[in-house]
Amino acid sequence: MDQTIIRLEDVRKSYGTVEVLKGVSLSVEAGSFVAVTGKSGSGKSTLLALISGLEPPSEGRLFVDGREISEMDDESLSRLRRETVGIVFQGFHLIPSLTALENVVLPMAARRKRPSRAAWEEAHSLLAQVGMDRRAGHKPGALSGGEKQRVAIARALISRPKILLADEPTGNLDEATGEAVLDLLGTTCREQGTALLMVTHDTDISARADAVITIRDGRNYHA
Amino acid sequence: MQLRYLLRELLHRPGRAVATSVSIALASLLAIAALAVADAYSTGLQQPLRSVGAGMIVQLTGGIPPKLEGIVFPHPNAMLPPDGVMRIEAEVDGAVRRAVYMWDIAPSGFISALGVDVKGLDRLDSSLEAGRRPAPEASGEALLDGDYARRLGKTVGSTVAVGGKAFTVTGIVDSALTGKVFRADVYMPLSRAQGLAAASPQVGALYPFTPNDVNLLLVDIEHENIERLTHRVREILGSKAVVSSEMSLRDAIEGVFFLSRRMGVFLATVVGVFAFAVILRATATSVNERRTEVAVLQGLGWPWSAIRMQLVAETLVLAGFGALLGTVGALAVLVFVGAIDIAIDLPWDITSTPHFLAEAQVNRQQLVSIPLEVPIPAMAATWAAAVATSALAVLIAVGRARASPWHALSDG
Ligand SMILES: Nc1ncnc2c1ncn2[C@@H]1O[C@H](COP(=O)(O)OP(=O)(O)OP(=O)(O)O)[C@@H](O)[C@H]1O
Ligand SMILES: [Mg+2]
Repeated sequence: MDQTIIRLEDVRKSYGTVEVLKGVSLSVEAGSFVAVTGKSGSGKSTLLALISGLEPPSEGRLFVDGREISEMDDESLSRLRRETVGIVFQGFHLIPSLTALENVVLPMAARRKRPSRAAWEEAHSLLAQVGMDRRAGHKPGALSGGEKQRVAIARALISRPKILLADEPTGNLDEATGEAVLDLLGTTCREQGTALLMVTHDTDISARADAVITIRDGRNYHA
Repeated sequence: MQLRYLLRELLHRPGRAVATSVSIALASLLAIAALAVADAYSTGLQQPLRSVGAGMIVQLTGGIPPKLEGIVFPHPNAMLPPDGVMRIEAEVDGAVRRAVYMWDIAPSGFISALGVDVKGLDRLDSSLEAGRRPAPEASGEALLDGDYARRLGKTVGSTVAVGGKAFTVTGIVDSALTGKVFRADVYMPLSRAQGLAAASPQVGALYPFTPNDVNLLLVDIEHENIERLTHRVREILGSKAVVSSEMSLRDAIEGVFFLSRRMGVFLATVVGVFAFAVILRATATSVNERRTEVAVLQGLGWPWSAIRMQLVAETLVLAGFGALLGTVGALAVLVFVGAIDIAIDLPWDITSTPHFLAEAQVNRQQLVSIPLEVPIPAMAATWAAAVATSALAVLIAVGRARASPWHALSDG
């Protein structure tokens, strides 16, 4: 149990009168790869949003890295995302006005002070790790989808988070590119000992996961 | 606040940056220029009274003398009650100049004469076009109005008779400099005028006028105290008090005031609505466009305060730049236009036009040319408004972008 990095106890989430999650309990081991599956609208994104602290649960207890999220204020929640939880989306969501390198260093600029020299160096080496160091000075507009996602992964990993949340990270990519990006995600997370929680519809990927969480009727089923 | 990010963002959307700055610049320019013009109008209204060194003139409406001959007081210049004079002086801590205004009516024509105290003589001194001021205690020295002197062919050293007494002309006053408020043909020391009035049967028939009494007070008072003192004077002197100031001129000169007030309303409407609408629209658009960007920052662990600060800073840079640009433009306009001219039709009670004498019609219109000045307070207010409305607009727009960041991002 010492290895548990995420734990949900009977977590419920409603939007208005619509209850999306109706009692989810689960735990995720540190460094493991967990696939999250379920039909469209079943609440997969909602589950990840709760874990990121960007959405508060309506009921239940939710522990991330040993701290209960519902008891944290905006400041500690943003610190959690800055230090413990990295996020990658289907839509990449790089800042269009910033270069690849500046995008990667952006999480380190959250504290109103300029990013340190070490942060810039770390950003460089992460870009190298995802094979994008040659494009460090380019803006997102000049990058392909796969390249953008590589940069987004580097950005999510710059703080060496213990958890990486990925919501359909290959949804906008063609198959071959998607495969490559998934390999990259898998290997870098494994290298860094980062737990990877990934929403996916791809059964091949689920097969490779350490665990699969399927959400149906607002509840989860461990496979 | 991340400066590099801020600059990148402004350069990334140059169209928006330019449009916002230029809108704010235009609004600031309009505001500052219009306020400068309105200021000039306000200064212009003070000018006629300032030409006699007063912010306010106090008179009392009186009776009509049994005969219009010799020394008489004009209708709005009844004798002021001595205790009333003292109470008014106490109100403004002595910043009052006592004076006597009178006409000397003869079958051949009439002379207007003003008796002023030492300070009044000091003032006239600066308007002399020839000669010197009369000695206050000298028995028979006076100044002549330039126009009057030329009409009668008088020069320094001539004599002139008022109330049957001869005066030696020691100096000629430039009519253009003395203005038209209580313009007189002859200016003399106060005690001499008081003596003439006290000896006049027509004055005596109406008032118990002694050589210590006066019928006119010139009050040196600041703009901001006018309203209060007007009120007090009316309490002290009653309903017959005639209190003239830039305020009463404003009422009397509807045209000018109307123009300047309209300008103020025009300005407020244009600047307020235009600027705020533009800023609100620009920031709302930019925040909407960047709804996902805001969510990304939230997702990357930027505290809400830092995100808000970043967006506010962006807009403030544009607003500040725009306000600066507008100020420079406004200064250029002010320098180019230079001055505005206004014509003020003075009310007859402060010119004391002898309305009963057809041949003595005096042109009561005073032309005033006011240099446009840099309105520092207006500029400060414009900047403050630009900054405050921008900040407010961003805060409004940003506040709405806060909810449900994850779902803004997971749409794909
Ligand atoms: N902010 C919100 N307000 C109201 N309802 C919401 C909100 N966000 C999500 N929902 C609803 O909650 C349900 C679950 O949404 P969620 O995005 O978690 O599903 P999902 O499993 O990720 O679906 P997909 O595979 O299509 O991405 C949906 O019915 C959705 O309409
Ligand atoms: Mg989803």
